Amino acid sequence: MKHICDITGEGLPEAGYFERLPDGACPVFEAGRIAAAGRAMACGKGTFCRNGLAQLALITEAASMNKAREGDLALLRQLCKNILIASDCAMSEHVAALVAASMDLHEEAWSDHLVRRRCQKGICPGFATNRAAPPQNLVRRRRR
Amino acid sequence: MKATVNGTFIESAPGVSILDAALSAGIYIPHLCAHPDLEPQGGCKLCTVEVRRAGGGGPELRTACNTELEDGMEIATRSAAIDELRTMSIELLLADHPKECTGCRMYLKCEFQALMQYLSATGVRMREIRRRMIGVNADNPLIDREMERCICCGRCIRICKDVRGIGALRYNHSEQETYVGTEGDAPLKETDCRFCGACVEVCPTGALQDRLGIFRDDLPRREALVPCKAECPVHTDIPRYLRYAREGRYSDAVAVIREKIPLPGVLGHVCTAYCEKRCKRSGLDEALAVRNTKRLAVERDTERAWKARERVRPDTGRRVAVVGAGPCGLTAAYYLRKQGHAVTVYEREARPGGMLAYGIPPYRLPAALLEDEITDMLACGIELKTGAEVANAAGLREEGFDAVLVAVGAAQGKRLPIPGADLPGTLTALEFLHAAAEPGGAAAIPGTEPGTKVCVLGGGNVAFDAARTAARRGADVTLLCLEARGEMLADKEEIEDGAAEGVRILPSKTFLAVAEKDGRASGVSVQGIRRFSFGAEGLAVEAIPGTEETLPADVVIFAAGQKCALKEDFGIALNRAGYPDTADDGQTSAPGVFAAGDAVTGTKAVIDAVAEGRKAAEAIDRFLGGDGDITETLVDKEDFPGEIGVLPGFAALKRTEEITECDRCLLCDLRTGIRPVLFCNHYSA
Ligand code: SF4
Ligand code: SF4
Repeated sequence: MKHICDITGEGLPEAGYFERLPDGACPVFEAGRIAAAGRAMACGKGTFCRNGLAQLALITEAASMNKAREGDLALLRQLCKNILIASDCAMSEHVAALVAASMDLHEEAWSDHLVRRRCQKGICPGFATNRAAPPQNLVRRRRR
Repeated sequence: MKATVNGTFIESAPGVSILDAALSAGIYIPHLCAHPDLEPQGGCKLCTVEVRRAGGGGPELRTACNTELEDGMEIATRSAAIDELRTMSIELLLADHPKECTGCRMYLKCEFQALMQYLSATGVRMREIRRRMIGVNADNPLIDREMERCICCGRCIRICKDVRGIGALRYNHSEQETYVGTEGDAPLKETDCRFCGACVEVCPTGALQDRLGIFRDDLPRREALVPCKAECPVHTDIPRYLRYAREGRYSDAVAVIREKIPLPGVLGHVCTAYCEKRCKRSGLDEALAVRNTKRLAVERDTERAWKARERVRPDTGRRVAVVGAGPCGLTAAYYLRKQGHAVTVYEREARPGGMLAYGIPPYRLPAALLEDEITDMLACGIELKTGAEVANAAGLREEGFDAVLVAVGAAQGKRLPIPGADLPGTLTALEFLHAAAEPGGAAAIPGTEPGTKVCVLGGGNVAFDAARTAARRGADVTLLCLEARGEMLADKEEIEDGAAEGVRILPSKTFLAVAEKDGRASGVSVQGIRRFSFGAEGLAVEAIPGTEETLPADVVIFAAGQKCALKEDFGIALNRAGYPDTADDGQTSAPGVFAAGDAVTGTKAVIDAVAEGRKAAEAIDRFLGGDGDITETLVDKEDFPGEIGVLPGFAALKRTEEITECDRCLLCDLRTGIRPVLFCNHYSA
């Protein structure tokens, strides 16, 4: 569909980020961070960008906080798919594609967080086995 | 362009969106951020359809609002993918929207609610989001903002910027939240907002609503949206003439007024201005000075272009007699003549005008202006007989008139039922004002000489007319009334001007008797009261013991209301109160004899009399076989562009007596030009 705004998502990790995820980084936590950064960039005009990214951010955050609900994985996939279809802007498409890539490429890690309730990397704050504090946000909010 | 939607053939001009083309063909496509008067935003995705283009290729999902219809397109409005997208759109919107609708004032009128039902969507799968910025700008005049109900469709932002040319609203961002606000979250009064209400009009939810009480809820909504026009008894198109006046098009402004009021200058001086009492701007600061602007427009109308547009229909051969040349009788005569009937007006006084000539003092209504406007009315061919008292209305029918209108007003002043009310030296305000209106007449009334003492009993406009007339002749005037100062019935202006001219005002008094000395009135005995009421038993007062006093007076004037002076021998049946018995169309017990105005309603404002005169003309015209349509167009109606632009400091503009006053108008009528969004049940497919 037609883009309704020209935000590009400058400053977000590039496509392929989850293929080359740095050692020690948690794909769930990273997906959450990217979704939160995208959410903060939304111009507000498109429902799937504004509210879709908000849901991506909240559900991935819940996964990191060990607060995931049954069905969240399917919901996340459906959200990513429809954000891509709605295609409000390059930024929201990019964020949805990155989150989807995280789920596709790191299925095991997502199952850990959502089903087995653990974070192998020990990064996500909702799990007792965590060894270190999560890294500071790598992506800063864009000022408007 | 020719295409099909769900197999049904549709056609449209080039450049029309799929959404507009389908809706025009009666085919419903859900939509929310789209609005017939706005450029599409394409943000909600509810109007997504599947499109196959003529050249082949697989179906593509497209938003129907911002995709143009093309020749040969095959469009489907439903599919699994579309349904999934639409349902999710609603789910996403519901995530930060209140879940119950019944507490919302838009319940059952909300577009969003209708779509939820149409798509059977709920928000349960999504994470609930609690908004934090909903309190911003919630407290402002005229618009109730319940932003927890906002779905960020952007209609308000677009209409404000793209249609009105203002741009007071925008998407704001705070932390992770997007909300509709103003620059720097400034209060609306401090922005360029012109309070036209367009944002409220297009809001599909209960997020933006008019403050309760601004608009009357007993009228059809579109009518109520322009409160001044709705309140005016003849529904003068006030915002339209204010706009013309502001543009210096005084003749056009007067034409608009004259389409409803044949005495515009008179009303510009003495109208009660019901319109101002309901003016929407009074919720912001002060009502527009509508009456004064009318006066200014008439004074500056040197062109009188409307005159050339006045039409008298061909003669019908029917004759109408009008009894009474007051504002009601003259108005009826004027419109009946324009319907083609031969009209004769009988006036018992030497001059036409009724209360305008004999009841309103010349300092309020210049006699020359009244004379000019009556001359204008008579010029369409009305015969006026002055000094002609009619003894029996039904008798006029026998003289060959096909219809008769009794518009004799409420010509008899009332005296209070207190001892001494009939003593020499007492008179009613009407008697006093009538005498004052006669050249040299008032000189015959003791009390009009400088230094004599006059007591006026009453607190309405007529009381002030009498009191100020006496004061201007040098009398020492005291005005006494039952009402407390803040509840007096007279216009604020009258009270202030009266006080400034030396009228002593003693409110909250009950009248005990007119004191007597040497066989004539010598004063008024009064007592202070705490409160009063009128019940089935009549007047009840709570008097304050020990406050009795007698005020000296050479003349006591009763301004305690007026009544109809007709007697049974006038040839029409009267009710117990002495007013003509009339049917819904104004017809009395005598066939073909109608009655209207104060003679039927009791004392009312001049503009009410004009409205009554118009109604009577319509009814009599129908009685005589006409269509009863007295509407006229004295200036072509232009489509006013919706763009109004920025007027710096708009909300802070102060009421003035200048023509620039028109700038303060909120242009309430523009909102009626915004097209409504029709719900799915209005479409056949
Ligand atoms: S306030 Fe109303 S019109 Fe404005 S964005 Fe919100 S829902 Fe839409
Ligand atoms: S603001 Fe203007 S249009 Fe609105 S009620 Fe007042 S005079 Fe009428």
